[in-house]
Amino acid sequence: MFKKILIVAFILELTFVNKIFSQSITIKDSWARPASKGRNSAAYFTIINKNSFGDSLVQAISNIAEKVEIHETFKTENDMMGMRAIKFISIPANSEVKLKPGGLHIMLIGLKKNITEKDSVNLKLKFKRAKEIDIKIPVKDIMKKMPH
Amino acid sequence: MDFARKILKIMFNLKLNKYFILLTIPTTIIINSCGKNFPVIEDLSKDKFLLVNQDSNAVIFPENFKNKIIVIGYIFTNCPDICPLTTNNMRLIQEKLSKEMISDVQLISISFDPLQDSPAVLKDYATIRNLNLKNWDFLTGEKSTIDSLTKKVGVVVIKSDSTMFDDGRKIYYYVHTDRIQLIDKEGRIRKNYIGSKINIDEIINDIKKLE
Repeated sequence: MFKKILIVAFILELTFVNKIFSQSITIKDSWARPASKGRNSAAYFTIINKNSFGDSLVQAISNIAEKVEIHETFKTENDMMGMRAIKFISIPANSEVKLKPGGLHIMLIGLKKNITEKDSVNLKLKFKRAKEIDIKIPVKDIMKKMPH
Repeated sequence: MDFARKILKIMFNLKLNKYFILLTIPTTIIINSCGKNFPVIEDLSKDKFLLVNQDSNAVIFPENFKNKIIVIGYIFTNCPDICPLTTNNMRLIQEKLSKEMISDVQLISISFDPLQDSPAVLKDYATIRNLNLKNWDFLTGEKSTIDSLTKKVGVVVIKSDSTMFDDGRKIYYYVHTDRIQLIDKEGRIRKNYIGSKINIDEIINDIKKLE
């Protein structure tokens, strides 16, 4: 009897913990750049972690591109810019991490079709601790509307 | 000997008039930096780089754009983050020029990744962004020509990370100078700007000074 109670409690705890993790990370302000078939686009969004513990975005998956990688843009001396693949993005406890132009972004490499402003891109985000999140990202030429 | 004596006399006089020196040096600096006299960074007037535009038309740069002020940006189309910022800034410059009714300015985007960026790829890049190509050319060419050009204009391009596709194809990314340049009607580079962060009003004012 005691063994059964322990098993039920364990299952309940797992479900509870899973629920907390799945609710504690949310995504807002997502958009992706328009780009033509065969070329690359970038997806941007804000990750909100309301947990009291940190997490990491470890993978992004999409069927729109041949490859999807987590990238960061970096600056070196003499106005030189570059970008490189990184393994994960750290999301500290109770924080927001912004993926934005000139910084962190999701690279959609080798697009399988043109993506324009009327389209959207499906993206699955996998975290180290939280449950994976599926998001639908609108394609926007957002820079066009940005004041300078 | 007479010349040396004259110089010494001038120096002596200037020494006596230190307030004159204190006043004239900053004034000269301000006049030179704000006036029409941008320093010539590089003279391309004798160069003839044989390139092609997005419509596969041959272009001799900068010769074909003589008597026009050129705003030129350096990009590669596999870059989805920084280069679109530069391209968008070129678009904003074009829009502002149009609003201020400034004509005779040619916009050019040059790809420093010619092995990937064919005229057709550049055409797609412009089309999908709805860019107005009326006074804007996207140029590419032979790799050796592009390499000579980037070297001459002071744009550093270094092959860095890459992505390998399942079928063995490989694309490269570059660490590169984030650059937009202003070229006068005689084909001389007059000013460098950070391509992704350029102040649009600043370059418009600079163009007005060169008109």
